[in-house]
Amino acid sequence: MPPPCPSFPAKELPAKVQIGPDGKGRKTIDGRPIDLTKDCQLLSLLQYECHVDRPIKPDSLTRCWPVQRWFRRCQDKKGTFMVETTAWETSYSLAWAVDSGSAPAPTTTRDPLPTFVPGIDFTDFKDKR
Amino acid sequence: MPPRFRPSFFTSSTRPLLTPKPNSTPLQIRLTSNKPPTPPLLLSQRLHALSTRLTNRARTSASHFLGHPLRALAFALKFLAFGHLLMEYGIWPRAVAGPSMLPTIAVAGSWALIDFTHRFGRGVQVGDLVAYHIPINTQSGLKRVLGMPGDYVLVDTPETGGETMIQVPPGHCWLIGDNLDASRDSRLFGPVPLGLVRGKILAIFQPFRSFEWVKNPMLAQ
Repeated sequence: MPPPCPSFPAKELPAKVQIGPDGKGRKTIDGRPIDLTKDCQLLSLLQYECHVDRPIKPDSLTRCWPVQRWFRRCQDKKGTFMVETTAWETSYSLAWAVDSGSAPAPTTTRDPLPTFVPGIDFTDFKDKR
Repeated sequence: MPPRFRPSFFTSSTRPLLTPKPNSTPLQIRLTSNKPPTPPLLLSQRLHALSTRLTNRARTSASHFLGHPLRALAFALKFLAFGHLLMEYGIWPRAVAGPSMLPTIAVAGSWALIDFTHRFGRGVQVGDLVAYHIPINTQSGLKRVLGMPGDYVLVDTPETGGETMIQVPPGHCWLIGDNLDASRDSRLFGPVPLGLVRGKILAIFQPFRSFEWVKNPMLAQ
């Protein structure tokens, strides 16, 4: 029987990362609670939504649209762990940072996340079969 | 008539071992051959010599097994065991097919070079491509690792706006295909036990067309 695996909404992420898989609290190397925006490196991963125009045809044109995923690589006393912040990054990261005092209140709208520029244009990717 | 040539070590002998003929020329030793130097072998001659040598060796090997069925059986078993070792626990290519990993892997005609020393998730990191036993059928699949034990992952597809998350339980990983539209992965069957991970993908290639090493996009940042 698989172990219980409770789900939670993305806005609870800053509180959830304070607890490790063994149920014990996580701390940074200098003993502070984990701060997602300050202690964790922002990483990106590109995935796609692809559509094969004519699946029966071997050399059919395949069109792919990129889907950006965001991750944070955090470090605690036991090592590093990854947190996917795709949903949290766009909706809750700034509000949480202001509430916890790790970021000043914005005077204007926040800057957009860095844009990932792929090396090739995947929108017209042709399947090399 | 005394001999004209008598070395000193023959003096103790009663009978001379070397008695030169009268009026013979003195002994001469040539350090070089009188024969003219042999010309280098032609390529065809070298190939012929090589084929002859290989044929003789093959005949010797065949005679090693002919008439010895147990010896031949032992050799065949050793050969099969070594092949099994390499294909299941070493590095071996496998054909992959399907639209779930577009555009990283084409729908058909691609092969993956799999390192089976990474089985059970040993040394696998987030961002790697792994081959695994699909939990809901008897086939094997190939997906990207988005979460290892203790990591936090998004259960929903990003484009849908869902915000449900989980913490990957111990001993499990979270696998997602690169083509989110056509992939049956952890969004369908949940965290995958690390015991089902067969190996890590080292390279993707199409025979006689292309070869590309797989790089982890998370490590390059």
